[in-house]
Amino acid sequence: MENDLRNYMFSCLTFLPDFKSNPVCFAGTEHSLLVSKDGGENWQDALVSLGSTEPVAITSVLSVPQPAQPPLLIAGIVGGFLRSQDSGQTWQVISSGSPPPVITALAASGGGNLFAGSADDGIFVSQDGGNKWVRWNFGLLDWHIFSIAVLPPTNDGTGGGQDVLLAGTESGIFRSTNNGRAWREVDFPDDVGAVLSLSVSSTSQQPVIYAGSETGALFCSQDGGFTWTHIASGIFQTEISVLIASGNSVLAASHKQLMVSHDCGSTWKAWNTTEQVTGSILSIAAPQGLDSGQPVLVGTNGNIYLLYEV
Amino acid sequence: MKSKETIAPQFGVTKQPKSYRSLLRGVDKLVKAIQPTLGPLPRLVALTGNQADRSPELIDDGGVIARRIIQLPDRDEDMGAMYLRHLLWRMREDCGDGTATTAVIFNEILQQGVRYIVNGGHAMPLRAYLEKGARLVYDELAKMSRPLEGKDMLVHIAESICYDREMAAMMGEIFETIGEYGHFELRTGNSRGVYHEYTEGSYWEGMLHSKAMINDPAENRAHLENAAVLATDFVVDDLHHLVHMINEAKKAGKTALMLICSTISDACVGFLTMESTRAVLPVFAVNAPYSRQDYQMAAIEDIGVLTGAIPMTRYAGETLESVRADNFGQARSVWAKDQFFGIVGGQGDPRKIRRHFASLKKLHASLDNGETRDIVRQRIGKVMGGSAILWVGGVTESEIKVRKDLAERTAEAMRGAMLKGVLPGAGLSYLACKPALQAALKAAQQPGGDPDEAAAYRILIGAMEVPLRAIAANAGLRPDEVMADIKHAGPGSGYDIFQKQAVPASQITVLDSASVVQAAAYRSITGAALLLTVDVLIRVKKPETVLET
Repeated sequence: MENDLRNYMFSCLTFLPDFKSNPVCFAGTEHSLLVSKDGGENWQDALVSLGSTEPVAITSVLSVPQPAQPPLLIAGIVGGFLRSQDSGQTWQVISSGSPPPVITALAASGGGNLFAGSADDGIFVSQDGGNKWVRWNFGLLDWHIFSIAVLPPTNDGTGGGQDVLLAGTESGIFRSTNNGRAWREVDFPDDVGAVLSLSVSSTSQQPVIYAGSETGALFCSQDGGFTWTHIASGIFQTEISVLIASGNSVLAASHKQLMVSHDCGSTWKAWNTTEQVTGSILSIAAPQGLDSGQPVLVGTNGNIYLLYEV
Repeated sequence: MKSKETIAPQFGVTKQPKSYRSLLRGVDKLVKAIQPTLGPLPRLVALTGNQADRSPELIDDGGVIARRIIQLPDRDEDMGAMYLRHLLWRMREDCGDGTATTAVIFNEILQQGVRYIVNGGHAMPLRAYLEKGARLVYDELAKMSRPLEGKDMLVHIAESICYDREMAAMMGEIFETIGEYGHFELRTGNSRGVYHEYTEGSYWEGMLHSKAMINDPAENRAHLENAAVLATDFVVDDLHHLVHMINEAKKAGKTALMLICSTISDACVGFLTMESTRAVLPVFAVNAPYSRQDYQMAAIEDIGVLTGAIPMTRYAGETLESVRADNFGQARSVWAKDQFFGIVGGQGDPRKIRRHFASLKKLHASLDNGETRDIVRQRIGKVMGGSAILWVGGVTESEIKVRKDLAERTAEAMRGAMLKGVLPGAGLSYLACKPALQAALKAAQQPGGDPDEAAAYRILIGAMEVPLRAIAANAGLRPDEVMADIKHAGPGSGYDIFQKQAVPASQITVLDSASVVQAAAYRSITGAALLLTVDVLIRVKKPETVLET
């Protein structure tokens, strides 16, 4: 396969957990799933083993570390999922029932549960590594899912160590405290458009959650998603399509704009990189965090970049 | 020639002090039958019917016991008993639990209130101050309540109501999933235990109009995906209108349709089930839910919001002939079988759905009436989507009936707990109201204070101890010793009935639904206060008789 990527829309990105020693990453496009084994420099088709001659539009992709096993790879497609248990060498097609959903977001919890958001069918949950998916939408008043975030499990006895999730939807945010079985509305403004992106900073003591909306509004929550504060007012003019949070740093993509904050969203600056990004930013992956000097993959409609902050 | 002569009904009149004595005795008899069922270690009451060959029923539900006591031999005593009986049954119907607590508090207030009045107190002011005290107790309980969070607490509260570990575990999981408003149904199971299942989407009672519309024989149902929904209360009997509807649906790009209507003629059903019609647009028709018009319109409104349909109603002069594109809603999947039809993944505007959901919740919170409140709660559950079915089995039919009844009461009390929170159980939350009542008593005892007000607070302070005393007695403990232990342990202490010792309040494991505790206190106090103002009892001695002469 040629490495002319100008005709591809890189809608989703992921990387293997041991990226530092094994720089393999995957990019989902409307044609296929691409794999790079050199940290994003060169790309090739990852779905050769499927033997399909038709384009396979990949809407989301996720890599899940597995203890003492190769990582699990899940890719969302129209009507179901692709699943690989050998780091992308071979793939299975997993159907998610009828009517066929369009998978828009994927997430995994530390407890081994997998969660998938869809365009019109709400949330799907898998408790067996992606082999079987069940729709769980109790209390979910909005089935148009754009983003999912998994929080650290509750340890105070109220959730019994169950996964806590947030779902970004067309009308706001929903929260689940029991592995995605039941959802409840969260107090979130309903005039900021769809919640397109969610990210949780995983290294701070008190997780901070960021939510980006269709109208360029950015919010953060420090109480597990119950209450939200509008931050970065006036910074973003269009939709915040991607958020990546790591420690005190947050990277936000809005159209062609990449902005970074290193103080939990209090102050922002343009993210100066080794290369200028052209095209709307659709996906970002930061395999080694957001510290200066670490590589960041950025997918756009027409190209994929391997960038470093200067 | 025969003529009719009417003997007018004769009335018996009972005045004071006999009226108070009779009321007290009647209430006391009923309460003594119910009191043993109070608490986490209750006793049973054996009830026998008219048939001598049947074994007695063993009941631990105060409301059922009260209901079964139809009449006392003494007509005056019967008045007191029936007054309380009605109050207790309303309590059971509205809250699912708390009847025994209501009964013992009611009895105590009545007894002490009568004692005060016959010693020179005034009934009407006493009533007013007791009602004021009832609001004080209600507010104190509201301040103490804490939210019910997590499956463990839900299971705990379920177990404190039904004392059935298996059922409590299942109910806890169910209500954690469906929430306080979610749709919950009880059905008779085929095995000994209990098991549950969840159903996706929302469903209503509404018959599929014809078995010929079934296209999924494996599930014996009609099922369409990515279907339009037309929500109406029409009587569909005009083929031309039906053709117009199908044409409009096709123009709007619809590929399948579920038609909701009041009735549909056989000719129209025949037309819809023709292969040629199905080839153009597969349609199945279902009955609009509910026969009562206001309930039906509400259900149609909910379906409209869920699917984005603009409902149509014949009362607005509309017919199928006036169907337009925006009358069609959309859903990911619709189905209908036998008596029900359902919608999965309604494609209505999610913001409108959420606003509708919020307005229904607000309406639910504002309603007092049990039936209307239930209907609104069901509507909320349907808008939320998803439902749970608990299949209750048993060895005998009567065991199944008792378990189902228990599950229903538990569900009702759990909903109340989820809405209003929980309180420390076993009568301890009432004890915790005493400081506030004592402060009010102190204020009423200031120079210039009303002695009737002070009396009311004294009566209430005594009444707040009665539930715990009854619970202790039922558990085989001495009530005075229990009260002494709590006092000795200091402020913020409670009593663990199982461990038989005073413990810090934070270690109390028994929880009660706050809505039940509040309702029991408020209804018992206000009910007793009202009865204290009754001076004369009048009853019909003999019914009206017609003699032919």
